[in-house]
Amino acid sequence: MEARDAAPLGHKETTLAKKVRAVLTLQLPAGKANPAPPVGPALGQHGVNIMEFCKEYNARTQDKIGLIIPAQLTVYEDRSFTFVLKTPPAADLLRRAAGIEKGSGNPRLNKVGRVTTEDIRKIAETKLPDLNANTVEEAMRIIEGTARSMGIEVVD
Amino acid sequence: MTHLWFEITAKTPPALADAVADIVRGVSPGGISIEEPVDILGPEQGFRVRGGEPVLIRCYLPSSELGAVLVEDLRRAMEAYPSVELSARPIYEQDWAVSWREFFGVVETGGRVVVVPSWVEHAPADGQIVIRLDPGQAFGTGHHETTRLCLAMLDGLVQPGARVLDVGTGSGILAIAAVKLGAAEVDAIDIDPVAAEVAAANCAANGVEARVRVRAGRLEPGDIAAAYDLVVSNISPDANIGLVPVFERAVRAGGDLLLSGVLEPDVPRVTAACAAAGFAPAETRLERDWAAIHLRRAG
Repeated sequence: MEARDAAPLGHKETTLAKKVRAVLTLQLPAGKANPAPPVGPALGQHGVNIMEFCKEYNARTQDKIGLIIPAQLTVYEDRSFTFVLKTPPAADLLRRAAGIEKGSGNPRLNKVGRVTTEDIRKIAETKLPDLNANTVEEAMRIIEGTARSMGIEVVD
Repeated sequence: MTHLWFEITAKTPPALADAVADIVRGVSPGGISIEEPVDILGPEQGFRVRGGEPVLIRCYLPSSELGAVLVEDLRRAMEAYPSVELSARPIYEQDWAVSWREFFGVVETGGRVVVVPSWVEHAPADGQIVIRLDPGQAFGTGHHETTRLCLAMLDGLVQPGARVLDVGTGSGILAIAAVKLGAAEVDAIDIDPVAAEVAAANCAANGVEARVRVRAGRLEPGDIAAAYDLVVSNISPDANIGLVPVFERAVRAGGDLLLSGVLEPDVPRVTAACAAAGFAPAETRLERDWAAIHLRRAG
């Protein structure tokens, strides 16, 4: 998501003549995809083979149980599909690092938790492939911004 | 059991997308969907996200007391984001595990070959050649013009006992068709390893795995050990043009080359590239704006 400004091209190397029908991202709990909402209605309207997606998503995320792992799907004109996994949302990683359940409703006044610069570095390294950042330091600035907006303090 | 759900959509300025997605996830632990506005580019170029336009962040909440509480939680949390538009629409529960199948029936190609999903009972008519194939993670369900054109033209080009090369096999549909039309052996290749796995599984489901060798990888001229009677390649125009040196080695003298994945305006430059390598156009068929080109190598 954070890489939006980078105008990413279609994610997968392809030389096929296939034309894209739709692109959407599902943020799901790793290893737990099933045909219930959101997967069923979100993919069903595009005619995507839902069980095939769930099976594959769960197989590819089973080592990440407990995390939210986004899957970016490309649905082609003949309703075949591919998907790539993205890194967990920064807010989720920050909450885990801070050991809190929710961000702050009023981040300027209420600080709800704290993380260390080292936590920020680790999260930045995890998120780097999906961030519009060239270096870990740049990525750390982005993650720090997210932390501030959630009312999470960064301490050394 | 819930029979009604609410699809809640938060139309969100892109700069706020991550923050809003986080809030929506908070009320929908089963997950959310995010639709970014994209420009669909031409074949082989995928898509590009349109910057600056709203992102649609969706969750699905049951129409129950709990659902009502969650909707209210969401509404309150969104008060901090006045630029986000929340909307809801009811959707009826259905058996989502199977309801997507309504998009797929028996595909007729105009020739003898028909494509039938596994859940459809089908009694083949006399002479009909049935490919059993479910749509999934590889292109080639039969629901695209280029696939149908290739299936129709293979019927007539595949001679009994032929050696065939299928470039960019995807679901393996054309390789399967080639065997069922009489080919003795087919080499099928795809740059996408997932597609190669899907193709191998589909070949097995159609009982042709002994005659099809599926490989994941790129195709270089040096990979071609012996010439084929027929090469079929349903990939993009530029990829096809780039492979002309491969086709030159791969098609025997007097053999056939069937190219698709080509939009009608691209036909002249594809045939010109092939003509330079000694392939003469024999027949071009069109469906909607797509073309399939049959060329024959000088004998």
